Amino acid sequence: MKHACQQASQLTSDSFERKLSWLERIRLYTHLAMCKLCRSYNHNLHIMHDIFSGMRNHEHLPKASLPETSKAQILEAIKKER
Amino acid sequence: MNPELWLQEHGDYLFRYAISRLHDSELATDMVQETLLAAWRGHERFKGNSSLRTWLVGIMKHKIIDHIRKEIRQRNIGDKLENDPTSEYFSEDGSWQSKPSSWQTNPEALYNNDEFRKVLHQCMQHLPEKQRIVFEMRELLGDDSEQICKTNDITPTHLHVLIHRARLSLQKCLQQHWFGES
Ligand SMILES: [Zn+2]
Repeated sequence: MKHACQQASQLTSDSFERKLSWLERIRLYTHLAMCKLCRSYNHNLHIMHDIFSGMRNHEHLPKASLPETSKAQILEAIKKER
Repeated sequence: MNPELWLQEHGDYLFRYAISRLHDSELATDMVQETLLAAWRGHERFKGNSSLRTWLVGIMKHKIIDHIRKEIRQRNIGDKLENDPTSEYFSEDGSWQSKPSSWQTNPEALYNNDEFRKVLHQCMQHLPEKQRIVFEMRELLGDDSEQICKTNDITPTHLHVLIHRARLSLQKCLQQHWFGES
């Protein structure tokens, strides 16, 4: 099949975003069965996906705090509003 | 109900939250201010069945989305579907140009690793802007597709193409800068 890997990479990505149709699944899995590179790509995207969901679930906010000048400015704005 | 106290107790948290999304401290300060003012104007709507912080973060999420949406409109950030950058990753016949090799790693060890986060962040910075925005909304913020499409004014198909392009590029970048070439 022409452009097989290119197409398989799109389907691999889409499988995280939506339910693939029956035909798409057959197309993807038959290709994966015979293509080691696309299997690796598929594997890597799963790892990437797991890394991102890990990051989402273990909220890791940057260490930063609101500068005092900004605090003062915000207090001023609140005062006007009250 | 005391917005000065909200600032005291939740200001830093809101600020960090905004920075993690917008990567800009001046903008993040504006978001904290807008959030607190909006919360003060609408404080009758706070039902007390969620924590105050959750409520404030909820307001801030909307402010951030509004901001991104405005930014996209004003600067006309586009990523046309017509030119297909994924062809760079494949040869004429559709086979891989730079070959992926299976990453041997434990995801858990990576998301807590600051070095890795730095590399990942750098790889994301190299994405074309629209790809980066939708990919971040999807994978970092966990927004649902419908919301992302609405914010960016795109169709689901367009969204999937952008995310696919972002993944190809990130996979290659991480392969090069973290996992090593095969
Ligand atoms: Zn293949």
